[in-house]
Amino acid sequence: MKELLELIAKQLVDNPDKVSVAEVTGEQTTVLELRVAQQDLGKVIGKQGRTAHAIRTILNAAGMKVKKRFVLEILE
Amino acid sequence: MLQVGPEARQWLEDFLAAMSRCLLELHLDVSFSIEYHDDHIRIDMLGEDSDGFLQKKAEALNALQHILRKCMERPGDTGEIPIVLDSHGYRRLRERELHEMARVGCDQVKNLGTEFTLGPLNPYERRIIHIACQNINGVITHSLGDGVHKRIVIAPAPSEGASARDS
Repeated sequence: MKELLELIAKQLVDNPDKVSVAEVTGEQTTVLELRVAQQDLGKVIGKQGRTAHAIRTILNAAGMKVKKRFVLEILE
Repeated sequence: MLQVGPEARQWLEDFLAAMSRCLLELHLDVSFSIEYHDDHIRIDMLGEDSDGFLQKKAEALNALQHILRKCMERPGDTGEIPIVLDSHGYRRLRERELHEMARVGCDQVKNLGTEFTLGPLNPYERRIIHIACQNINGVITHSLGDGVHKRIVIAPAPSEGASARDS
């Protein structure tokens, strides 16, 4: 899941080298901490959070066979 | 004529291949086929597990389409390229469903003379309804609400005399 998020995030931003994802694994929930450059925050969040919402939806769909919840945190 | 350079094509193919690999790691069998048309790029989602993306009114399919459009804005540098992401003929099916909704709504408005409000739809789906209703005499449409809750109201068209007085 980490790789999938990284793949998407790197295409969205202007500074792909500043993209990093940390995976905090819990029993039922995995938190994915996405870090991007400050000027790229808007790119991953999108107008009215549309892009961030889309990423969360994709993570949930991608996790359907793993039977786990994925939570996306966007950090600067 | 839509210009999609070889670089952009290569990028799109690589990106979708990488995405398939990521999904395979998550035990999902999903692949993509790309068609380049004059005015848009059509991507079809194939594979055993692609129907999972059609749940909840194709929420995930639409999400992935949004991401693809956003990502494609960069490498091609040709501005926005209309990408249509489809799976199992969902778009065509949904379009037919929307036309049916428009027809049923318009019939009721004409028969009862009252307004008919449809459920919340996304902008693309509202557009289809608006256009479908334009071709039907005796009704007008407008939107109600904001954001994801925006709905279409089909109303009886004002009579000829009334509209002349209004304008």
